[in-house]
Amino acid sequence: MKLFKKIDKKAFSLVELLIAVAILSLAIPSFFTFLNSQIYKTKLNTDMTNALFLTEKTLESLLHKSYNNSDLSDTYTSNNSDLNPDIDKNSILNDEGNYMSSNFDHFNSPVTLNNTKFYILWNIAEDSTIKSTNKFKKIGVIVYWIWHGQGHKVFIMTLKREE
Amino acid sequence: MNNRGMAIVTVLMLISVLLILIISLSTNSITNFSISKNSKDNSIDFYRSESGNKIEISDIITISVSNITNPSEPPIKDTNVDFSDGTSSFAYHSTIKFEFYKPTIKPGTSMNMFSNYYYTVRTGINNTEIKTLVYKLGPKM
Repeated sequence: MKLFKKIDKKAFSLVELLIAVAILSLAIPSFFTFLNSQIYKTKLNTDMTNALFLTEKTLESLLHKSYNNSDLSDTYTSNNSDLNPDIDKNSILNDEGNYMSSNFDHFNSPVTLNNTKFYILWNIAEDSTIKSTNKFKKIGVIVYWIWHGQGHKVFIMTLKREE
Repeated sequence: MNNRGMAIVTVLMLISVLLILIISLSTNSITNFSISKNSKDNSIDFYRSESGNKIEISDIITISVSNITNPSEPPIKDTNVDFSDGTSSFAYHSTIKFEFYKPTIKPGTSMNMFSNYYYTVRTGINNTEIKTLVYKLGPKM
């Protein structure tokens, strides 16, 4: 067989060379693809941690504001022109799936951390369905970011009771 | 002595090093991802549990202590509440412990007329639990 015949006594045969090229052409791109995916995951982890921190920070600052503070107003009911209109009325979470739309009551300026831009939005809804006799507001904060064209988000909801 | 066989040994060593690198990288990123996800889930549960806690406490604050007929029985019972937050609903479990506290009164004080009523409110979702202590001053039993 010519294919298996070595060109020189010390050299490789054609088949050996072909196998080597095939292994190299598969292994090297696979290794780099894998490496890239790991870097992507690490970046996603960092972004998620940062987003969580921003969400909690926003939520805590809102919880420490007074019940009637303008940051805790449902813009649909108050119809404040300088705020973003919450066009779907009181539905606090209906926007969760469509978080990149502008249908949020309030927003903060985007924050850039580790070259990623985080958008901070929150919705307010007065809630009368809660069994308690006290008045509550639902606060839903979403922090989202876009990485490689794909959107990611952290969403946390809590309640604030009227003092 | 010659160098025959050295190539295969070198290649095998190189492949082993690459494999170890891949496994360690992969384990590292999987672990980190789990940490981030757990941290996110715990945070969501914490705030939901805290919401439940606020609801229970608000009920305790509202309730009149004169409604207490038996000091050993809490006027508000332990509950499993399905709490909807708009499009999704989640359940929290609340445990309310009630203690009727008789203060030691110094002779001659008018505080003799009052008693303290203690409530320990625990609300929990999954593995996250929040405990709050509330007390009210009420007429003496």
